[in-house]
Amino acid sequence: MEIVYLSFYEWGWLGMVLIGFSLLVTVFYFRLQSKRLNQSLSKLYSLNQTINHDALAFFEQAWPILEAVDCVQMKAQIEWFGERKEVCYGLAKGIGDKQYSFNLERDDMRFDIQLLLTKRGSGIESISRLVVKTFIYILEQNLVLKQSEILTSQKRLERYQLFVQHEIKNIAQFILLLSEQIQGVEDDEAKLRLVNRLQDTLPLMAQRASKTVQQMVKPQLEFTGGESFSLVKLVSEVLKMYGLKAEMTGEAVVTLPRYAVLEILKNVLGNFEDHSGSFSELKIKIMVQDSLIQSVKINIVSSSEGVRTKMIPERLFEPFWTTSESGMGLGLFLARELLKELKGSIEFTQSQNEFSFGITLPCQID
Amino acid sequence: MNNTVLIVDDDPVLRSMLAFSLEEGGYSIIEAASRNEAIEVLRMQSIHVVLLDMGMPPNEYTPEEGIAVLEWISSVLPQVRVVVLTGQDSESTSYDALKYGAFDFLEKPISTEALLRAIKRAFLFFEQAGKLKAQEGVQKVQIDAVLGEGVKAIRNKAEEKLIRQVLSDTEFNVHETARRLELKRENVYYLIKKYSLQRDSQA
Repeated sequence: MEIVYLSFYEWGWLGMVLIGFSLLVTVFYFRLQSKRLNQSLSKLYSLNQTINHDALAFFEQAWPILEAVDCVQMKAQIEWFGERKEVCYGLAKGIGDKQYSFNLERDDMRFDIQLLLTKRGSGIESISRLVVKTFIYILEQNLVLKQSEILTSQKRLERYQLFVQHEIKNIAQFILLLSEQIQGVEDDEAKLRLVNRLQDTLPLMAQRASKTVQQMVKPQLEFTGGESFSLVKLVSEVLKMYGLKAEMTGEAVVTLPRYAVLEILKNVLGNFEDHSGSFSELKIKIMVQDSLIQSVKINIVSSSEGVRTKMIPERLFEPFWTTSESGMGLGLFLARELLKELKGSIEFTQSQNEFSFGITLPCQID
Repeated sequence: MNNTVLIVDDDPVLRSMLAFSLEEGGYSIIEAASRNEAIEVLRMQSIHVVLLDMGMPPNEYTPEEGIAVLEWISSVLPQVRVVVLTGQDSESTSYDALKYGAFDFLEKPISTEALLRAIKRAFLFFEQAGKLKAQEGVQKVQIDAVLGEGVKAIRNKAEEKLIRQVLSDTEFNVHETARRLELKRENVYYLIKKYSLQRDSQA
């Protein structure tokens, strides 16, 4: 058997090949791990989208994804609006498993979670721990979202109750005054004046009473049907309400639920009133868009002069997020919600010198 | 005698019915549908008593608009008596009404008799305050003193309120204001500067 002696130069080459090979293996391993991590995170996000950010459903359906990344067992005590339940997924296997605890709580929603990870999975910054962290983060976000939804609904309900209460008190006041006036009025001249007033006021009151009953029976009727009205007049009405000045161009007479459009404009322009110290005069342009679907676009443009910080578009429509001391941070959120009901949209754009809100409303142009 | 009542209510139906009841009670009526309209009327005409609805657009269900009118009146025309009429939550709205200087508070639905009684009382107090000023040179100054702020802050508030009132009474005539307050004109100018008072900013 012939012994092959390698020269120093050849040893060098062999070493290089071995190093190269081990580097290749390492890269391959990390690539596999990264792919695994990527897949697990994508699955979590996709699940969350599918179940529409529902915290409870997300928790119940995420176990297979966690199990695939070295989670041995997940136990939890859940309190969900007064109801309690305990769940347990997987089985504790052996010694060396490490336990992690998480407590998430928002109002009447609470999760006390214990997760067991294998020894391999419990390493610092292991894939398992990164996936678990993401899982907890998404769950927490879903709870926050649910909390906001509840608050918004409560505000809407409050507003609805206030509307009905306000209207009923006004109707009661009208009836009381009318009854006393009819009983008290004596001379013919006064009677004539009363009848003249009633000719103007009674139809309006009848209309209002009917609208109030309609609201009590089915508030969503606001979004169906519609009446023909001038957008310029409606915008001017809202500007006057808030004491805002604007240069207006364009016009469209549209058929839409007037009350809903009024609320949208109040919510959008209300922001300019809340920050009236910061904004210069507005420019409002009303444009008719005749494509496949007829629509109207209302562009509200303001100079950014005086606005200290750049506005964060994704925050603008977030409920309860506000920079105004007096505002609740619901205006733009509600405007967008109302627009959804009308199949419309609102978009915010900003440049160096100005920013604008564009409201698009599909409608019948008269 | 000026017996004009300004009715401030965004609801045209109620405004009309309230106007009729008050006209039948012997009062002249001017109507306003919003905060801005009310302020405009108060600037242009001599009004002694205001009947004010607290909830008006754009805030029909909260008292913001009514409070804004009350604040304006209390700052520019403090002698005017405001009777608040509202369908909103009586406890919190009456608190706000009192805080911002309303003379009386009525909760809807109110009877014609109770309404007329409140308006009559408001006119009576307006007239008596006028007599007190004319006969005894006494000008009532109402301030909201925050306990714990110190006496100097309270003195400044009273001083500012008094100079505002007299300037308003004299239509910003410095000479006449100085005469009424028995001050030198320079002192009046000093106070105008100290409290940044301007004819227009009185609004």
